[in-house]
Amino acid sequence: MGCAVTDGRFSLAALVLASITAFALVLARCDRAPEGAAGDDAAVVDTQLLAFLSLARSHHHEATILEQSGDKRGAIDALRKITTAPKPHDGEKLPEVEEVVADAYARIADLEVETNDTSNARKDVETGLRHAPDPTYFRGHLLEVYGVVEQTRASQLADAGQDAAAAEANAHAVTLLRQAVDVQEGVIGRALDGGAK
Amino acid sequence: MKRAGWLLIASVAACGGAAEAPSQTPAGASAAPTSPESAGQRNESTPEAVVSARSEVDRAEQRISAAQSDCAEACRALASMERAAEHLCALDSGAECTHVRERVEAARERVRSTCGECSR
Repeated sequence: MGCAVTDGRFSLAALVLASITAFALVLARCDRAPEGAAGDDAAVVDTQLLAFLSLARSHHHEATILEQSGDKRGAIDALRKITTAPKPHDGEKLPEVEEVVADAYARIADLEVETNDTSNARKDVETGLRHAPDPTYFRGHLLEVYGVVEQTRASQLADAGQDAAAAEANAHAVTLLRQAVDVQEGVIGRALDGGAK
Repeated sequence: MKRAGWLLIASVAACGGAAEAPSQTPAGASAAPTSPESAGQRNESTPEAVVSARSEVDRAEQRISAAQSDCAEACRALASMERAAEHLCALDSGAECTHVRERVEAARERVRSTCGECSR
């Protein structure tokens, strides 16, 4: 009777409550740190890393737009915001962050070569190489850009009548470009063998 | 309570499929049939087959994703290698250039045979 109605309502309420609880538990499960992460600290680090990667992507887009409109200086400034941005997990060298920074330096140096600023291009590519010490794509790319920087510098020196210095820069360019080929050949081999990068 | 159990299963499946690494999905999926709400209330053989199939799909997805990632890495390394060789040959068109061009061609063929054409 009344009791049966009450039981029915109670069952319905219990069903709704159980559903909400189950859904909330699952949402909490979805929202927690990735498997293997060491609690709350790891989740914070991941968030910082994602934020940095997002910031880097945004500045690359900004640089692309400025470069396409002919503002190469503006594009370089946009990319500098990546290299000077606070890094996640300060004091530790996260591979993802190091790669992003190395890549930004490569693009900055590339743009500087296009504006004939080989002096700053050299400095930036050398700084970038310090962020990519292992034989990865990023190191290979930096060596490639460095080779182009030296090639351009050799041309500038030759135009200025400094033949000896130009020959030296040319020889350095050949060495760097050869190293770039070596590194990228290794990267391809490891990628297609399924081995470690 | 039966409906609540299925909601839990569906939610776990959605969560595992969309937000987690594929390797974690089977664990999330296999946990569902052992929940008190669902145990003994439905045919056990079907969910097991579904869980097994889902695990296989997840593993295949993981392998495809890894292969795509490796090919992307190989393609961008090849592009850089090609550019470096081009510049090197502009500076030294002798034996070194010939040797580097051969290595680039070999790398290009290797990437093509494994990954197909790289997008430019």
